[in-house]
Amino acid sequence: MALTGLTACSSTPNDSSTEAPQSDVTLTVSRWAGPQADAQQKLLDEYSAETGVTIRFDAIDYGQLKQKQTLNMSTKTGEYDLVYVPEAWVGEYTDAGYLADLTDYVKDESLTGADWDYADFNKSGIDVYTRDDALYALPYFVQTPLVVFDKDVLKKAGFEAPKTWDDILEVAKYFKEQGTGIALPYRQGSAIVNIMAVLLAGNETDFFDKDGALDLTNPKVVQAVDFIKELGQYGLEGSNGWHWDEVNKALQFGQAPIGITTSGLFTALEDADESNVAGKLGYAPIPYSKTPAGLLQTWGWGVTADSKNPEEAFKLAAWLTSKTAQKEMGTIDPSFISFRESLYTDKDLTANAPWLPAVQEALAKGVTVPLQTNAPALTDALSVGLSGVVANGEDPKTMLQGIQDTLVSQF
Amino acid sequence: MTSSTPAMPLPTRRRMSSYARKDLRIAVFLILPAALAIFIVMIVPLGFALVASTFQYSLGQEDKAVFVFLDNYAKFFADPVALRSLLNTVIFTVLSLALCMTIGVGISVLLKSLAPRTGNVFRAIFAMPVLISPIIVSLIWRYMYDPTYGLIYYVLGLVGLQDFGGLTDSATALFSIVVTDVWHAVPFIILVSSAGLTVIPEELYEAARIDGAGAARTLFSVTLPLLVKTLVVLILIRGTDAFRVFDLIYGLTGGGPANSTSSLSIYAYKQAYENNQMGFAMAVAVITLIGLVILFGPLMRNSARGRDD
Repeated sequence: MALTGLTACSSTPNDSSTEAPQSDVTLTVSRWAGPQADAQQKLLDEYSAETGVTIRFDAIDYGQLKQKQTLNMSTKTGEYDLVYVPEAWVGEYTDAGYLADLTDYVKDESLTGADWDYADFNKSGIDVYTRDDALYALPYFVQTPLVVFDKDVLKKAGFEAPKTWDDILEVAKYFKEQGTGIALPYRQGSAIVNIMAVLLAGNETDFFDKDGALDLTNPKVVQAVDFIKELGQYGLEGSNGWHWDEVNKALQFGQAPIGITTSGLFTALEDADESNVAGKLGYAPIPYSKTPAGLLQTWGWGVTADSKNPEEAFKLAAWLTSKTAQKEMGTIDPSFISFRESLYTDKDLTANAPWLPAVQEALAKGVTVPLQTNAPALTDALSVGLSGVVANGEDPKTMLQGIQDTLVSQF
Repeated sequence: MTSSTPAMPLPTRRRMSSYARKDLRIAVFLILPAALAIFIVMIVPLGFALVASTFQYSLGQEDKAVFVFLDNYAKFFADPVALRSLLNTVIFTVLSLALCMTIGVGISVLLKSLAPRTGNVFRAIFAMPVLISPIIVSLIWRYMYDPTYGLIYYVLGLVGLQDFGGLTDSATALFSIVVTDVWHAVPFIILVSSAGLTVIPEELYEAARIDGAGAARTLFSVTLPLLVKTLVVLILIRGTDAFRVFDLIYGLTGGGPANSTSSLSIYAYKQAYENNQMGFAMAVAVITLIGLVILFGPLMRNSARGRDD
């Protein structure tokens, strides 16, 4: 894809198509060697060709990524200029002073280019990387779970896309009675906690009260877990032991007419060679009680505080998050979902990624799972507790009270 | 002042000849690289784990470690999930070991009674699962146990047992994993015990037959007593493997539902990489090691003993 118009971001304007631009700048980029790393490499090569900036791309396994980034930034080696940061690490990184404040950079057109359009970013995405009114990373990529359903099967049964808790209970109950049910990622683990986070936001509540204290016994939280339990009764056989991948398979092979799965796996659903239901699926936000909501599992680009070339590093981050570069990523890999509002309705993208409008609707109120330093203790306890509720029929209120009593002193 | 105590006779020490001293120096010199390698590869990591278990720290933030001495160990014994994981590990080990040994040795004895060629064919067929890595085994069995499209439920459905909880019910999940582990480990028992059976002299069976011993008497009076060294080694290998089980459980249930299949290794992994408590995870690892030593240490000592010890 042509990169015309992006040269405003580059260190050396590319006004000649015959001569490669020269630059003595070298930037080192730290990234997870997971999904989209190859597409990312392609874009970085294009940026290098466009600007002459040399880019060293350090893509490593997720298990080692945080350790390596932390080691480099804490010892202030200046080795990394740009780091790929998920929402879960940003608090720790900013508290430790590892990331540069980008608040002024995003207002500087000489760094971003005139048509960069900061206002086009999804607000929830910006909020994730903002601490005390300072922006520490540019939101780049998001994954979020949605309800996926076979449009024909639902229509034949007289249902439309489920929006509310009552809607989905009715649909799931109907299909359970027909011998299938809804495919749910109810295995003990992160997926069920992710769903709970969305349901809480959809019920206009949170794990914590306004003062930040743990608030699991709040009636709205209990309501959400009651809903999780009730929906589980209409789950496809085996759902209590499933993670996202198994739900996806049940949808992909047409065994489940409806399910909740995550956007990173949607491409397989729409691949005609791999899926029995390609082109037949509809997508909707996870049903809500009061307002639509979505989960933010994000990655963003942060400039390291010890970078020797912070402005050049920011230019690269701005370029990577520009509409054109983001569209190119979405074209290469439809499961790549950007934070650019304008791309959720882009016809070129929605042709291969029909879930984008639903993503936009869900991310109007994007939330994360708890991100405090000690949050893993809470999410782990919840994953076990929710598993007990759906697998053993335990009482939601008792389960939540138990976790509240155990962890209240830690939050 | 002179002592009135008579001098004790010193034990006579034979003086080493210069050749013997030289030999000893050469021996020490030759052993040193191996001893050093063992020290670096085995003792240093153990020492590191022991030291790390007395600190509270997160991965990548070792510089902020806080010395907590034995607090991590106290925390383990105060945590019901940890104790549940310990209990699960013991139950898993005992069940898996008992079933593996009974089925594995039983099959190898049966195969020995077949014609050699037939026995070899069956041995080769039975050995296949041992070639598959545990994480792949867990993926295969995850689908086998799936109530919607799994083979297990299809078969159970034929005999009216389709309500079996399998991996999704706390009451049956651990047993379901034991079944998978037995499927994976029995071939190893068959292979090793079959090798052990080949060294039992045929004359002893002949004599047992002449004395009128039946199959059961022959098994308990001839086969098993002469196979005991092999069995001890098998119990050691399989028992320690089962006690450290991680990948099978991780792939099949991730420790759920409701921690009903959480083992010590799964618990340690979660503390290290999900809860970011490396010091505590090290303490769990050390407790696992102590558990292994308590359960299998005596066997290990006995297995190294010769007949004359």
